[in-house]
Amino acid sequence: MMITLSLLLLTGTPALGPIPVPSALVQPLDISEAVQTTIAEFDKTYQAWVTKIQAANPEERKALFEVRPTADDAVKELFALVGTEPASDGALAGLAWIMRAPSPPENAEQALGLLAKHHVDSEDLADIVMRAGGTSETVITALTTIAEKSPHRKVKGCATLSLGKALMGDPVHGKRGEALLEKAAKEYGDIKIHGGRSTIGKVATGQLFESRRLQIGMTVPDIEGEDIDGVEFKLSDYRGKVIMIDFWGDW
Amino acid sequence: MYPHERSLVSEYASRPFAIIGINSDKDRDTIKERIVEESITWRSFWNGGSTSGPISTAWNVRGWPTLYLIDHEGVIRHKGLRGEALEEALKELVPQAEAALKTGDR
Repeated sequence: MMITLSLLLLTGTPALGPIPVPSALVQPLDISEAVQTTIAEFDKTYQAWVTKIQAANPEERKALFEVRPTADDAVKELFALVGTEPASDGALAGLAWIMRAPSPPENAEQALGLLAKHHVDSEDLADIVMRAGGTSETVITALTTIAEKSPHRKVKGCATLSLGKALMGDPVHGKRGEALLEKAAKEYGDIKIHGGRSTIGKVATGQLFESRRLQIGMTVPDIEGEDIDGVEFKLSDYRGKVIMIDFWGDW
Repeated sequence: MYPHERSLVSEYASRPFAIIGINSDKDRDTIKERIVEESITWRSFWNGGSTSGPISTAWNVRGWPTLYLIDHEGVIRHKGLRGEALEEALKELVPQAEAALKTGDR
């Protein structure tokens, strides 16, 4: 009944033309637009470079790869903008972009730190944390915070998986990485990632398998399956020979 | 990739060396045609028609091609070798396999 009433009231309002925005509503400063402009400007530069690459011959291409545009300036601008309103949606968009921008990894680490501090409640962190890499203190602390404090199960799972992947194989933190991957597989295994093409469980299990069974010096695990014609065979049928295992596709 | 693989196959023909592929193409009939066109003589596991198939998923493969080199005893000796480095590794490993065959030490 309430809804109907308010709808009636709304539709009953006479047209007033453009409504002036009271200046109080513009505050606090909305940085979204400035963030989008900075990103769009860099994308334009980058796209121009990509177009040149596509048109270039192999020699020119080599030279062009030497002058790949870096996002360093754009990143600097974005950090300055984010600094004015770190908890805003504009800051979230800017920091997410920095995480995948062509610029030194320290920038992505700093961005991740700020995301963990100011945006730990955001559902968007699920995809963002998957881009994290490295084993710096900043990354470890940020991913640990997100895994613990996020209210979203998917974000928690992705942060756990991402940290596990980063730490697995690290001489100092390897054991912790392994434990995190096991946790990711057990508690978050069903969660779909990579646009639905995989799950946290599959990725975590694959990572553990690679680390435990597929290192140089280990006996290769057997593969049983069928060939392209549907005939069953095993990798171990070829024991005694040197085998080059080639994961390939005709593309 | 194919020309290099073909040359390895002919270089090591009748010696203890094999390429085993894990093919992640989508369509079986199309790849069968390509195998004929490209004279691909080595055998491949079928990865279920996807790069997210069971074998590549279990092996945590994230890039294509991904290569592993296994010695005659089944030990993983190299990962991701290409070109000359791959040929150097084979020059070392294949004679080891042959020596083992001779002494019957398998």
